Amino acid sequence: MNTTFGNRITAGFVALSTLVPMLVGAQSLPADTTARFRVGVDVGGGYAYKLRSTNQLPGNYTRGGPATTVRVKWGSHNVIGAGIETGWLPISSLLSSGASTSLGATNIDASLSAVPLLFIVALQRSNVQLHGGFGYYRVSATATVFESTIESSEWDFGYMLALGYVYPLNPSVRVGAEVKWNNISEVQISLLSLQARVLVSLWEW
Amino acid sequence: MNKVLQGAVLLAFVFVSCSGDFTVSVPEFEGGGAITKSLRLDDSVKAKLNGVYSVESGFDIFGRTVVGKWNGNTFSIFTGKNSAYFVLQGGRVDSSIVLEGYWRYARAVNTGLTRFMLDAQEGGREVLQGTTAPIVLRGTFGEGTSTPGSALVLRYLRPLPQPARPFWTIAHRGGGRNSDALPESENSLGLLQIVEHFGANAVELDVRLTSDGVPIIFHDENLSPRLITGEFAIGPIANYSYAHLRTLCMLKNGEPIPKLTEALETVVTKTGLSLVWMDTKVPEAIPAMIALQREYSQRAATLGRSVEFLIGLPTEEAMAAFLAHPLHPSARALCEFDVADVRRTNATVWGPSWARGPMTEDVITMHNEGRRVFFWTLDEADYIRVFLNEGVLDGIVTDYPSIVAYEYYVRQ
Repeated sequence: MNTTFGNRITAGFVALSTLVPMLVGAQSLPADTTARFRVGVDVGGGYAYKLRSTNQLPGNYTRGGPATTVRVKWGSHNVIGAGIETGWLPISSLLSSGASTSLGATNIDASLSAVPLLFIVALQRSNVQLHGGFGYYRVSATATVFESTIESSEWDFGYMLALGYVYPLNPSVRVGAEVKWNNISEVQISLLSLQARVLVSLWEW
Repeated sequence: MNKVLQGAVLLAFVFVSCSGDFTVSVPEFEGGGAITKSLRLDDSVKAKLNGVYSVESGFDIFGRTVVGKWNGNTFSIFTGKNSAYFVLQGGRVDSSIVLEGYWRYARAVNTGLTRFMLDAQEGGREVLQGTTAPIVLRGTFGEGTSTPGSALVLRYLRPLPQPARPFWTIAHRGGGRNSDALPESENSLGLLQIVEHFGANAVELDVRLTSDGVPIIFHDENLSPRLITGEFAIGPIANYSYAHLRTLCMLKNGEPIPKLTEALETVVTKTGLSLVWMDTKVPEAIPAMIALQREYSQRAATLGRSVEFLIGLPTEEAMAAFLAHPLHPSARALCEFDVADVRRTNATVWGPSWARGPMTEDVITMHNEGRRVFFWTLDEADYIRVFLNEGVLDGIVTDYPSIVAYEYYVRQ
């Protein structure tokens, strides 16, 4: 009866299927690649693109937009890390003037965005980083029709996978770029983004 | 690193495999089929085809016994094996009767075209003349839109049982669930108009309120891709005004989310349904439901229809809202709780969950108090049989009316 629950089970399975091989892969890395630990913050910015449009309304429809990522991670220098990720994902927007509807003509101004709150695991080899995570997205819609505005939000389960490259500027700061796939599985929304990143170590030991 | 790639590939595979929607469309004969050249059948002729049939050919697919029953201009056949139903239009060609349409498994997406003939020499002439004779429906069925080629032969065994009191086969969610890939969305006006084809004579509707107080029919608390299309409609449906819903989203198969008034008008004017269970999803809807119950009871009576509208009380909050309404003593309710709550709300019908068992003594007690008992939601033939064999219930809510109809009518 509850398909949402089924979606969560499926998504959880997918997330585990992703993370377990990553962890197993990490164990197979050479032991001498790690010596110290650190807590760092990872900030990214770029552009996200919605992969599949379900919009059926007329007007100027935009998929995605400028996106940001903020991660706080604990981890060893070169092998594996874990942490949380948040940020901002503009999903889509629509501007329509005098759209014809069954209730008459109206202007439409609508937008959809998401804020992820994900548990992530990171794997690094050389300067290549792979991030995978799952958790919830706060998905929000704002829509104005017939000169009346509503705002509506909900938490939806989803996951994330990102592949990036980082280059050390000094022992505490690295820069890089990554390609990221966010899938808000519960509402069937997927975004692909390309983001520039700055990684800063806050504490090391 | 290979294992990392394996994980990524698996993730991509699952995403691709889960992102597709599917619906099952009704197959149609090219050019409308032979039925377009037939003459309309009289009701007296149709009545002679209602009955239980043995399956002489095609029983490996549809079982040894099937039930055939007219609803208006549609002849439906319900099978035990594979829980199939046939939806057929009938007409007269010379001294024979032709029945044509589609078949479908209720629990799967298998479907196809089908055609039957009641030949003049095999009972057709007598049936058309108003006399009786052994009836043999010789037919064929196929897969999808391919020309029917597999034989299906039905021999009339006996008439349908004539029950001592009415029995309601109540279709859940306005006729069925989206997960069963019906040709119309759940809780849509289109589904209401075809639900009798599946064997239902009553429907359950889920009533919610928009932010501007319009009663609508919609099952879930939140808008989601399970029920709607519409990129900018997300979160609780109660956040949205009716104008927002109508503009921003559609039901899964492209229909607008109906107002309760539209649904009740459809039931009264476009169906032969005799009962509507209005399930109260939010207690704030109770005053509007009581008002609409009165309005549409009068409307049905004006049109010469006998339709009963019941206000479902599934929660303590709904019961409290119902009892707080000044007109509740004259409103007809269906209470899902215990018999004490049924008496407290003076409900016309008790609607317990099937999971509580047949509760025969309590059902008899309710009957003695002049109330009826509908169990929800029974979908498995084995359990439906258990409840029917108790012989005391008045109705069953189901996602598969064709299964209940088969099990109800096939009993001797």
